[in-house]
Amino acid sequence: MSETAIQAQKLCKHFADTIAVDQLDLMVPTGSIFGLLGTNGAGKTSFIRMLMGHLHPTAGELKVLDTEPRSADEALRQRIAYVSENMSLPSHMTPEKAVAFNATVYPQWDAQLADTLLQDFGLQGAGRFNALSKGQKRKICILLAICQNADLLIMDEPAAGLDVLARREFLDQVLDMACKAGRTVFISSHLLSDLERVVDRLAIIHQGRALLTGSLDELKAGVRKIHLRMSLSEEQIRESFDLVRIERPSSTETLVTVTDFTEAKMSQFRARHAQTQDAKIIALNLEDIFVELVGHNPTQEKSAEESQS
Amino acid sequence: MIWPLLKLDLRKALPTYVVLLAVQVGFLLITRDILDSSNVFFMVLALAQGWMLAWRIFRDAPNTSSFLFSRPWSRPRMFWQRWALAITLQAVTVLFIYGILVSGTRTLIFQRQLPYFPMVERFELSILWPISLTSVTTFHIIMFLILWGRLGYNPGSARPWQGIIVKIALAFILMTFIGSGHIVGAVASEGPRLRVGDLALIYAVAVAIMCTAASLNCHKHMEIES
Repeated sequence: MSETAIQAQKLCKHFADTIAVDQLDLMVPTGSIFGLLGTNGAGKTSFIRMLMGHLHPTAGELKVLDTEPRSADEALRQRIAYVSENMSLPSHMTPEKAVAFNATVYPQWDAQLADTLLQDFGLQGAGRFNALSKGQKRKICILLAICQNADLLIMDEPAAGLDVLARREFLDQVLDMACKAGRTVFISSHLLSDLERVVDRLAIIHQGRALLTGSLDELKAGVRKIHLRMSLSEEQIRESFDLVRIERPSSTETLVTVTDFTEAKMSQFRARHAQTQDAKIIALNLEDIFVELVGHNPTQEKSAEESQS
Repeated sequence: MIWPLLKLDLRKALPTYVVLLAVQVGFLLITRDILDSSNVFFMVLALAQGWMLAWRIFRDAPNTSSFLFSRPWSRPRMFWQRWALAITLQAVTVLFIYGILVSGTRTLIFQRQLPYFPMVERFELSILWPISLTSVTTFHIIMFLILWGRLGYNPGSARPWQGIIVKIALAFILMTFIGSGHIVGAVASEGPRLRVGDLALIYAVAVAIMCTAASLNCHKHMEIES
């Protein structure tokens, strides 16, 4: 099995004049629980639909389990489970019938787990699909995907519409599943708390581009806020760090957000600027990181500069 | 054979199909007139059947298509299975009518006293060709229009004015099909050596092949909503 479950290089998807995915580079290692984080309209769903072969890329390269999604054969498609944002089953299907349907489609179907989840999720005897509540509909779609025992589980906003208990139960299930050898889970969400609990790698996407990718620990270690009791220019900071945001609370203070913080780089920075000895380094949680990156979007600025020129 | 998909498609198509079949059989058993190949009622029912089968089998609700197209079935396999199902159901209709005619049921009900009833039975079999050709041609044209229409609305290519262009193009294609069918009929009836049946058969086969090839291509390239 390859070390990479999903690989996107310079991937683009345009909807007429709208750019949904813009030169996206992303690599999802096999066996990881990978989170795709972004605001509404960031390009998450378009990217996932390209992974499933439902949308065709405008440009760039995309490989899922070493194959282009459009040319994926039936054997490969059996290895991919998918929960879409608004997936519906045929309206006449009851949860039990949906389980029976999938059991005939997937040879590796886990019937025992399906029975357990039907009971745990309270779906037994729940009636036809179009009579189910929004939460119940999500649960049956998630159940169908989990019990498929696929090598790659792709989920678009899976926990949307679920109550807190069901969300926890579902996330635990994802963790259990991911513990089984070789399984890769790819989750997109705008719910930071959900992703932070389960993922081990994460990409933050905004306006179709990946702003930052890495493990949670790497992201938390690399993205820091530095409070300087002096005024430094943007260029002076860029000499040492990848700068995301610069604020000047007063004429003698500078607050910067950087994405490649290390102690070694900080030491060099201090050596270069003698007055920064009392600089305060502030660690950020995932939500802060997200707000810092997306709240001030370098891509947007770059586009504005390009259009001006 | 993809059995789960077959069951789903049968569930979609059967209720309307059975109603139309019942109407055809009912008409066959009720009408006292001797049937000939230009029976308008049967032509209309055959047209409705072709239209309905294409519509019910090839048109999926947007969110359901996301579910179906995520299953491990290749698009060509899905297409050919659905196509075969539609053709089979049309063949069943023709066989049903054929069975009623050759079994002598109509003769038994209406013409049992006539000395020439075997000839009437054979004459009435002439409705089978027009029914088959009308149903098959309509099915293929509508199937193509549905799938081509879906392709035209691919979110990756759709602009507001493209929708209008697609609708106009669809109307033109439909008119061309119908118009060319009319020309075929007119030429055949005017030419001394041409038979309408032969030309209509060639026309129907040509339409079926072209529409099937084009529809398969559309089915492969259409983008799925979810």
